[in-house]
Amino acid sequence: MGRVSGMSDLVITLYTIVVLSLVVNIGISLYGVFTRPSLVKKFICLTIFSDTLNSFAIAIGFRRVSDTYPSIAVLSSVPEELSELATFAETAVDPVPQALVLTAIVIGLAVYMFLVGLIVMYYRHYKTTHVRVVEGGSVG
Amino acid sequence: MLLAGLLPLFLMGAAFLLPGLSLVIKNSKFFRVYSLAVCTVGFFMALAVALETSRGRVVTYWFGGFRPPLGIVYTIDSLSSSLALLSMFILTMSTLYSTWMVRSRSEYLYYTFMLSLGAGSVGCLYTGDIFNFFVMLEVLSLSAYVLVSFYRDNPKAIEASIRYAIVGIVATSLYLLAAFIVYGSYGTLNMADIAMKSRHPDAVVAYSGKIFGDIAFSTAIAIALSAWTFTFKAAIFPNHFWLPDANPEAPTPVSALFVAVIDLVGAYGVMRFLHTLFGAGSVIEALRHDILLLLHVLGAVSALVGALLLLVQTDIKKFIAYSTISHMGLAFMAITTGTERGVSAAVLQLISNSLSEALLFYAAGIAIVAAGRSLDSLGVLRRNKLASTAFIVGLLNLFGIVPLLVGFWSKLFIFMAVLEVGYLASAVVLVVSTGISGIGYVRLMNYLARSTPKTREDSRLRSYWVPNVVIAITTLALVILGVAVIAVPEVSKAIADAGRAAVDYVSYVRAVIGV
Repeated sequence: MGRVSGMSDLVITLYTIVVLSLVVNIGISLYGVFTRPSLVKKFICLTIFSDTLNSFAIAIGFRRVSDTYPSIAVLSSVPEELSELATFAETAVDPVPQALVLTAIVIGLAVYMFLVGLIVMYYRHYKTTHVRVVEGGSVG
Repeated sequence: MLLAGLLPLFLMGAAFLLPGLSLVIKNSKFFRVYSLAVCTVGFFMALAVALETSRGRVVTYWFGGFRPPLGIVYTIDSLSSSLALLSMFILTMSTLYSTWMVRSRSEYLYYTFMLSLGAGSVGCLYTGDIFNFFVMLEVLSLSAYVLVSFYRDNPKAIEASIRYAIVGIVATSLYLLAAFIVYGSYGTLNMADIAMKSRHPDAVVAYSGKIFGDIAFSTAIAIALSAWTFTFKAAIFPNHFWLPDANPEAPTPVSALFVAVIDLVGAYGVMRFLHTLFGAGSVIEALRHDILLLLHVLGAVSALVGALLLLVQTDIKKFIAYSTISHMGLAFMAITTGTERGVSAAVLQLISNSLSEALLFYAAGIAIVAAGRSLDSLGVLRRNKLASTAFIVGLLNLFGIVPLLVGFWSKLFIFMAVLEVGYLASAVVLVVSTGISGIGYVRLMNYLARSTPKTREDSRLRSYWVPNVVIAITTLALVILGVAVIAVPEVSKAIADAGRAAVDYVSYVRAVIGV
């Protein structure tokens, strides 16, 4: 999440807004998943939910180095000294969350494809995509 | 140890090979023999790993040769290896049982997902990396969703699978969020690294980030999120609702391995997170007692809820599912005492519960094929002496009053573990839930002895030797373990070691980071 010292107020405020809006997004999408009767809408809310989590991970990788933006760390030529590489590693965005998000997206693709298949099956059986109300209510 | 790293990959590779082989080979007998062979080899690999981790040793395997915490590392102590051995044992038994039970046009898909289910479970238990845990958790969950909806012509199976999948995706995503938060605050994904930094925040490890911000606060959030996932996986109240939905709609051999393969991972997650990673002496020491107490109460509630609800069931599979909820609740009560004796009692409870629930499903499967899922159909088993005896043994083990069976010892150990920390009310809950579920078990025996169901014709009923072999092996395992827990010091020591491994974070960290 970057270095705290010397971070200007504006960047902190913006970062906080991003994180807060992600949290609100999580709340809204979960509300949708659990209250919407349509399976398709549930599905859409689920994808929003996981996309929000992935965006959150990208936000975690954010690393703040200078007050002047944009300051993108680029390594365009072969560095001559080891210290250049160290500076690059210090200033570049943390790559690990991106690798994690990539993995999570791929896994999510498999799971969501299967879920879509299930919803199609459900539609073929019941001729609707709304969740069936169980007769007499469900016990636990 | 290469074998440890190889086991989940071996199962996964064998699973992925099956759809390819199905293009060339059309005979479904081949798939049965193939997956049975793969599972058996996998079981012996898990056994070799378990023997390697005996006497408190921690085995590691570095993927790609990257030194941890840089790469993914498998860290296997006696806790994970013993649970993985149990998981592989039930998987092998269920696969053998499936060769008799499951008849379908797309049998190769069934075995593909059986094998990947095993890979996911063993991967979750072996891994020493919180993100890899998520990946394996998704492999496990996706295979479980597929297997629940395997009889896709049955609308109820599709419906159960959708419900299970939607809540399951939310649950695993919350774990993912927890993993991200842990990475953000600890700068590492390696479990051993986290376990050290949660005790010594200033520790400097090569190739690992520094801690960021208030780690006590972020750890508490991460634990809250992941506890949701683990209670969901372990079917603990209030996240227990999916099990009686999904479990009965799955093919019977899959229902049999729900406890040993899926619920187990939830219980293991709590053991790992609240004892090894963020255990005693960590930054959340002040909150830890409250977290454990909350989970303890949830465990007690689900023990009671499961016991009460199983009384009103008329469906065999739902009955066993509620019994599972009750017994997983007891296991949770043991884990959350926060002592190593509690964890070893929970391990024994998981072993006892997995074996006997599987045994009940294997025996009831014969009745289900012959007469359907109603409790009345249990009368069919009277014709098969072995199955009816095994069914009674399974029930007695769950009831836990026969000192010959492992169920008695696991309940006794849980009783001692909760009394050790002074939870008198929990001891009462244990006795009461045992009593209530006992009424249900006696009722089931009554059905077994009295009911006269109408049987239907089925080609599978001509020969019983496959289910009988499975039932005999599982019953033998129950009885042998029950005697061995007390009579053989090595076995009781192995169970105690499993509990100690969860609490002993020092050897866990030392094996991975080598300080």
